[in-house]
Amino acid sequence: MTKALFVLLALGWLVFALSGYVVGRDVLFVNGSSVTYFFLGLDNGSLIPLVEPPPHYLVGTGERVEAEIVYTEEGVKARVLAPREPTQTIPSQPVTGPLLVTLVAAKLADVSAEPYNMSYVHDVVFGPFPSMRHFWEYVLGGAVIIRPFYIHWRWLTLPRTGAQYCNTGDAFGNITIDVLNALYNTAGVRLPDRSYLVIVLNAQPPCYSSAAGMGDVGVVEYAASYGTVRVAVTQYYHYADWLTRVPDVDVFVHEFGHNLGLHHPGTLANEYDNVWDAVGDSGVFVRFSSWLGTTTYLISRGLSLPHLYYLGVGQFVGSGAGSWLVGPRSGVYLSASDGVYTVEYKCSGVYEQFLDWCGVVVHRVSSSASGRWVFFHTVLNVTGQFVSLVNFLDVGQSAWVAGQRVSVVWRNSTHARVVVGLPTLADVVGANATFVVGSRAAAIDSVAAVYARPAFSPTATFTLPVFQLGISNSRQHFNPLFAYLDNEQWLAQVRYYEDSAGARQLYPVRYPGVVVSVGGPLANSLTRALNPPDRPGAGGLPFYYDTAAGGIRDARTGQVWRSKAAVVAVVPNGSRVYVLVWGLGGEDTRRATRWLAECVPPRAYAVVINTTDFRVLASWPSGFVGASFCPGAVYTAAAVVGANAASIDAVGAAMATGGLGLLDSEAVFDKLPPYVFSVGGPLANSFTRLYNPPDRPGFGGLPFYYSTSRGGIVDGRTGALLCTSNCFVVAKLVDRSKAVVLAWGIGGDDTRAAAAYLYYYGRSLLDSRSNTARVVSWNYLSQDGYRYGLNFRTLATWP
Amino acid sequence: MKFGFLVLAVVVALVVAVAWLVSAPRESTPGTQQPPQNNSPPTTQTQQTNKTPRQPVEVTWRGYIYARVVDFVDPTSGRMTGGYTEWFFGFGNGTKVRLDLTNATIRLRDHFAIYVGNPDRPVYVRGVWNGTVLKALEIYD
Repeated sequence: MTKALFVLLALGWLVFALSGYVVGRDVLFVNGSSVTYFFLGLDNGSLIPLVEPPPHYLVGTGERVEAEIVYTEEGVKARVLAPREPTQTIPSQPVTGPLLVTLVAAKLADVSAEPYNMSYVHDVVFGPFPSMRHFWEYVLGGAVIIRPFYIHWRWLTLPRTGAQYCNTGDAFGNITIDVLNALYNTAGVRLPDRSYLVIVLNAQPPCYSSAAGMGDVGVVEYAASYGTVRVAVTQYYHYADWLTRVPDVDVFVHEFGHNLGLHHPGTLANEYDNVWDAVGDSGVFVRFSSWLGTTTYLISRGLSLPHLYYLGVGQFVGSGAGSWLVGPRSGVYLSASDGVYTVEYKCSGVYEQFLDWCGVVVHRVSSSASGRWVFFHTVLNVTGQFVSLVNFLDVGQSAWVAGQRVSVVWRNSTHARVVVGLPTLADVVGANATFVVGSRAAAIDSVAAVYARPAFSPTATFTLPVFQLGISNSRQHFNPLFAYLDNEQWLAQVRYYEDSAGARQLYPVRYPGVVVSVGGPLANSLTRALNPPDRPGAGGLPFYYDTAAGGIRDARTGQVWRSKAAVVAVVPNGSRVYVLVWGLGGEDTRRATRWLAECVPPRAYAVVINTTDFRVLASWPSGFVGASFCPGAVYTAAAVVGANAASIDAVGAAMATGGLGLLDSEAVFDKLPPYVFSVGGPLANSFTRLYNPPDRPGFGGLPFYYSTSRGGIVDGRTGALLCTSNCFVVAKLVDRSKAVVLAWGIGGDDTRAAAAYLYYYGRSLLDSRSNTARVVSWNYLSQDGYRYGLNFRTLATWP
Repeated sequence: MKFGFLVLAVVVALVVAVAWLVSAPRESTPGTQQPPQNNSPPTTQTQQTNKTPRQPVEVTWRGYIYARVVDFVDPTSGRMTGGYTEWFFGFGNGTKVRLDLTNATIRLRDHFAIYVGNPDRPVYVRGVWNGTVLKALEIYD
């Protein structure tokens, strides 16, 4: 009986699948050898030994994996399962090896022009970047080699006129058959079975008067004079004379995509609306040097994941809820009743680099008799003629896809971290962030953002302030701010799309990044909007400030904490992800941000912590109460702000650096780390005043100072008044082996701009081995009323 | 005697039934089978020259699904502006007829995209042939 039960349980274990994270632990022996043990880490912290070493790329990455329980003689162990393949709803028809391509330039009998020489024809198809061959070999990761089978090195004259071809009712088919026969009759060439034929025509037949090209979807049979030939045919039509100077590589790439079996992956409304996929309409004019010299080319900008998967090179790292790292040629999929949704990140690559944006895009795959089976999925509330330009998620953005939240919390040039489902605190650590503090909060609240910054990474992303239809602007960013006050008009990321009438429309979004809102609901209006007093917050967040009780209440249990407590929460809301950090007092807020920086946050959506010992007092969902695991941190930098300074000074400090966040009254020189950023002017920050007092030169002869009588920054060497507004001083002073970096302006905005300058251009200043300083003027860059960046101009330098 | 006659009648009935089934217009493979007139696939010649629609007949043919995409462009900007897909049904011998999928019910084991332009995945198409276009009613494998 017991044995049977045991066997049943074992079988139960065997079929029971679970998910977690792969962790490795090294044991080092005194003889220098070592052994590594691998475990499956569950969400509740349990570690289950793995029965076999996992793939190396999963170890320690925090990547959620699926595993099965295995019973062994040594006890219960786990085995990591390979990433699940999507259901057959996403078709796959891998293509590998050499693809034989025959290339012919052909003239209609009634058109004598030869618009391209044969080198042009050859190079646009087989040449180096950018060419049809190069694109497909590149995007398919070397899985295919596009090999010329036969090139007809002179223009071939077709036996019929364009009108005659049209009168057959199948101009494309009859042009193809005539070319096949001509190749056989003039050169004895028979095309191999299942090969490819590219025909460059010198004009458009009248029945294709608006066409740039046509392509067979896959292989088609043709009745040539020597028998049936099965080939995939591209026909390219000389549709404009400027093509002789501007090669339209995109059309060749697009039609060959059809030849490989792909169909248009645009939106439901417009099958070409997909700038992220060559078989959509990803073409863009880009000028560079290549086989036609320095010229402008019309090139494609990549291929969507469903198409890559179809062709055998796309991969899915997982499906459903979890935190996934997606990169080139990989993504996740979500199953839904109306198809399968794929989520991928587009940014880097030989062709992808010409996308105007780096972003996470979504496609839906379904089946229909129309032939189209990949659909660009709009994730934001924008509709129009061409909206794929704006319907992507940048970091910090979040959207509902197939009934689940999909949030992007981090990205670099090749990969992005995508969270499917509600993100947890563990998921957002390291996120690309922007920081928001209350405009009227105490400085101590705001300087807490300095502590928060090491737990995240500032967002510096692109915007598109100069719009030219179809011309790549080569991704630009303009020194954006990433630290704000709650009452500010933030910088915007400016995107463009075309409405249904074809008119340009502007689609600005608040500057990207997970928004870290620091300070409580009474001090910070953003926090208050998401986590108001006296009731649960956005998304059901159960922790709130109870004004009557004067403490943090847990709505589920009614428990109240009246001192030494703080809330840390992740709140997806609308199309953004927010992190709220606030305590009962300013010091509690600062301690809470320090907890974020120094401790390992649990996989909970929100916690209440004790701000003295960092113990988790309550969690949502429950199950994470207990001591925090805090390896601690070594701080190499500190930001000092005036205790009575305006909040914008303090939030500016987070713009300059992460590390210790101190008030001027707390700064004890001997205990400061090697780099000390003193943010705020001499009237607002006593630490700055020590080094750079008003009305006279400062430390080490620093000549720039604030003149109280003249209301501006004066150069003490000449006595000249350098500026009275929109300017600041940045300085590096070496004092007793510490670097004291000053950043202050005429007003709070100027001080924050000074900090931004240090972030973007401060490296040469910080690397200086001796005292140095600059006075810089600045202004906002704006377009259509939207601020999108900062501009700087140096007024004076020292020495 | 009476019983023997009954057996003979049953056998005759069965032979007739088999003969009817063999001659019934179910499917045809050009070149391997001589279908009745109303189920004959068109030749390349008839397909291209016979512009007069014939009396529509229901047929079931085995062959391949082909698609061809026309991409229109704005000649000034180079941007693709529209297009359409032409569908064909091919018999494998070079003969193709236009295919209308508007009212087709797809009953294929794999995703439809796998079958398009794939010489390894023949299908059966039951539909109405009017001498010019095959209006598919059902596609299966």
